[in-house]
Amino acid sequence: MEDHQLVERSRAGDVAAFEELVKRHQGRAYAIAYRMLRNREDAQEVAQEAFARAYFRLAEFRGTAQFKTWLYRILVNLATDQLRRRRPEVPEEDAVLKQVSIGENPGENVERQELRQSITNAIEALPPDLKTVVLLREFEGLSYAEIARVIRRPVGTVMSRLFHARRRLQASLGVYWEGES
Amino acid sequence: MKPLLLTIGLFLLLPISLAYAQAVPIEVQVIQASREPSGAVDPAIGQLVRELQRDFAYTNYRLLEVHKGQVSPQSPWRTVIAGGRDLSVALVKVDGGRVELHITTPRVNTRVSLTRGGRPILLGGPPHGSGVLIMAISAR
Amino acid sequence: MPDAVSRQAWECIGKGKANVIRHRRYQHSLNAYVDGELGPSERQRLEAHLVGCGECRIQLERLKELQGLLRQGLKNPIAEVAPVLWPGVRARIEDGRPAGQLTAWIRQIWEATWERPRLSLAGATVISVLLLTTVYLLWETPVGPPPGKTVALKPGPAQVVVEAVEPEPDFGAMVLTTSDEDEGLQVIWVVARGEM
Repeated sequence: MEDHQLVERSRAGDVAAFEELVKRHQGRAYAIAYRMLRNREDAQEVAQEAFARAYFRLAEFRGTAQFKTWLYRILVNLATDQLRRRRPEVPEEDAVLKQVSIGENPGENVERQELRQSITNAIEALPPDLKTVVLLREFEGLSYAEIARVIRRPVGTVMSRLFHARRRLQASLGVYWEGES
Repeated sequence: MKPLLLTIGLFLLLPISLAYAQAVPIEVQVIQASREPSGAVDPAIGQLVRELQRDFAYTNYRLLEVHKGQVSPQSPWRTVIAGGRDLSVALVKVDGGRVELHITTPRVNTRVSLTRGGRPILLGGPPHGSGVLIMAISAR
Repeated sequence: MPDAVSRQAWECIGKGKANVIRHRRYQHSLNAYVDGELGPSERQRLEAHLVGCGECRIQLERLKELQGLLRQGLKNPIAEVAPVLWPGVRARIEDGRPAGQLTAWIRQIWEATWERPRLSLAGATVISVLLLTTVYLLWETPVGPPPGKTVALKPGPAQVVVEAVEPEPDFGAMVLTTSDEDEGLQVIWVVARGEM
């Protein structure tokens, strides 16, 4: 069944249909939240809250755009709010992440893992607005128009933020330019 | 004698209180939109304006007035908008969280159905000063 | 890479002031180019520029390398460890509508005072042309509501539904939905027949 059909059913009160929507999109939703927040509990909280809010606002969803994009907008808003509210001492779980990645990519050498860590750090160091567009573009593969819809800004803002984000990333990752085969 | 008067009094009050129970608060924000180069947006209507700016070429948005009133089944609400325009809102139906209104201005009659506490209906177009008026009508 | 070279690649300084401005505009297009978001004529213009501009070619390569790096770095299969969210979602739904709406509103108003979205001149022109064209088309083709008759519109599950519109004899009315496709505002726009 297509997403928009599940949405129609959910609107009519079919909770099982909404559960199916949650199952379909929870992976990516959690992943985006995690990449923005770098903390498992927060990511789970925010992702669940986003789905709940989507449920309450189903009446407003016109179905002309994709459910996914609409959901991401709610999710990104919540995650950005969380980021702004956050104090710097919130524990990040990069140590756990490293173990996970070692376990799941046994073929990877240490340099690769370090590279990946540096990239993660560089993205993490971006301010929330820039981080969001980079994640939506490079991680989710959304087009400029879709990103504009998710963050509720004009396409020009998306381009400008990407431009600045990439400039900063390039500065922090510059050392990898040389010797990168 | 007294208990009788009291009972009659209560019976008289009952329809009045029912009418009040059915009274729906209405709010009208009167906004002037224009193309002045300053690009000033009144912060009180910031969120609304952000959505309008996608589609309208106006650069300036000013909140001129806010009118509040109540409509109930037998009594419509009338008010006068900036520049002497009459606006009248009549209650057609209340249905749970939705309310149907009949809105009349000198230029248009319209029947709309709104969610109480939800998004406004916008009526726009009449010229005002250097720009146009936009009325955002919502029901609580 | 030495700072001077990378700075130059970013600023793409050519000969004379006109060149600097033109090159700065190309810089922004390079991003769109790498993302496949340039229209065909803009792409041609950029590719023509690239033939003659070494700095921009270097920058393009840098962007492509960055993109490659980011894609690699982001390929971490975090999705596999995503928890099952449904029980938490259901619990929240059963709890009822969240009370945080008011603070969200306040925050949005606050943000709006500091962010002034700038409609570019081109964008504004396009929008006003579209609006004028819409009005023009409505006058030319008999789609607008004829005076004295009501137009009944099909209601949907949306928050705001315009059930009927009846303009006064010398006016016409358009019912628009703003382009926020999921939650567009309903607008009834009234125009005097002489005014446009």
